Amino acid sequence: MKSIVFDMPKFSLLLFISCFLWGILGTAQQKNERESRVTEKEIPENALILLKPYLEDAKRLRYYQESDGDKRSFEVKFKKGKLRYSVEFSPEGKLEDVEFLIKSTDIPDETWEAIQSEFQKKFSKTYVKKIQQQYPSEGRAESEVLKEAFQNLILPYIRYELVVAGKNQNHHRLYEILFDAKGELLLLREFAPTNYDHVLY
Amino acid sequence: MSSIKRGFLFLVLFAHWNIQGQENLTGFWQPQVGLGYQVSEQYAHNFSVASRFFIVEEGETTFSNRQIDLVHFSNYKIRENQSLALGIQYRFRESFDGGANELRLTQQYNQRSRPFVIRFGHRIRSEQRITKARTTHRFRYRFALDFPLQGEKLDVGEAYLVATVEPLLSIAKGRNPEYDGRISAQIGWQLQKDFKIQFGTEYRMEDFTHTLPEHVFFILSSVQLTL
Repeated sequence: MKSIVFDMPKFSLLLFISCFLWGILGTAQQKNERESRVTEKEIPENALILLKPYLEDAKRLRYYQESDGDKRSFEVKFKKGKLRYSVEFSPEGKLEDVEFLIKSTDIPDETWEAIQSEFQKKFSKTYVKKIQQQYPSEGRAESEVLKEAFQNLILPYIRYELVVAGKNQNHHRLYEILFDAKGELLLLREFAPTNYDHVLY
Repeated sequence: MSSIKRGFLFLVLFAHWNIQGQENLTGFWQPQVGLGYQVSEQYAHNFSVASRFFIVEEGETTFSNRQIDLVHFSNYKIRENQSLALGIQYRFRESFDGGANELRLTQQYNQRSRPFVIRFGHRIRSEQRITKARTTHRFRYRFALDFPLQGEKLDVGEAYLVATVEPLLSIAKGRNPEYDGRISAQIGWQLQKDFKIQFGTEYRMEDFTHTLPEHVFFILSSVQLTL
């Protein structure tokens, strides 16, 4: 037994260092979707010029770059008034969409009823975690889209992007679901489950 | 960096500075290796091995092993953000510093939420610490928060911070109740999709209602693998 006592510190140290090195070496072999904070200078100039009039009184202004394989985009996030905005641009500085956080009570009754009826078809139980009102650019005049988004107008082309915890056949999963202005389902995407063991234990 | 993040970093630095001023404190280094995997969509296992080494004992710098823990948790997801777990742990101590070996049973409820970037976690545990001499019942609540240090979501290769605060109450037959408090902060790296490493510090004030509470600090290091 005595020999175990003497060997254990060395063994633990060796085990920890081995795992650490394995992690470092393995990192170089992976390619993943990434989101990272960038500075204002890294955002395309035309995007900043377009957005500048709307950034007056903006708080918590942050710039991000997202890359998923070959696809890249920039996002400008900020809080203005009581709303949290997210404006997405292509690498060339073209407006892709404007989103801001809302509550279910901000959605017109008919649309919300259609969304809920879609939930009932797909899930036995749902819990809405986040709703964003989205103004996709999709060939529209960029200045018009921005103007309409910052006026919070409810128009036929807007969309609602929801993050929903849904229960189905005893499975609890997290989904991103996109609806059009009438509450018609456009896209349903499942989130990859996150591992929480590093915090939990 | 938001004011909340700055506040927690300050708190950790302050806690560290505060314990340096104490006499007769105990210091440990605790490395840990954890392995987790899904058994089914709702059910997961976690196994870990942790070792605790004295690095400061009665004010003297030292390096000796105090104990080894073998730990298992069976975790069942009851909601997307809530889980129940049962744990079993065996602590080998007798062969190292002569203390009692211990069998520990744990019942756990965890709930987490992420309104924006920071994730908040609430963990409630009840434990039965069984030694030859007695069984101690321990009840603990832990508030945890974690967030990525680069951007809004944690990507591979990026760092994150985990901070916790935890009060504990221990009850055993023929003994006065013991109240403990713990505060910790760790920085981690998501090196691969299924591999994380963490380093940090923890401060424990043990039996803080006693006239002479014990001050213990930990240097923590861990690796977490997911299959």
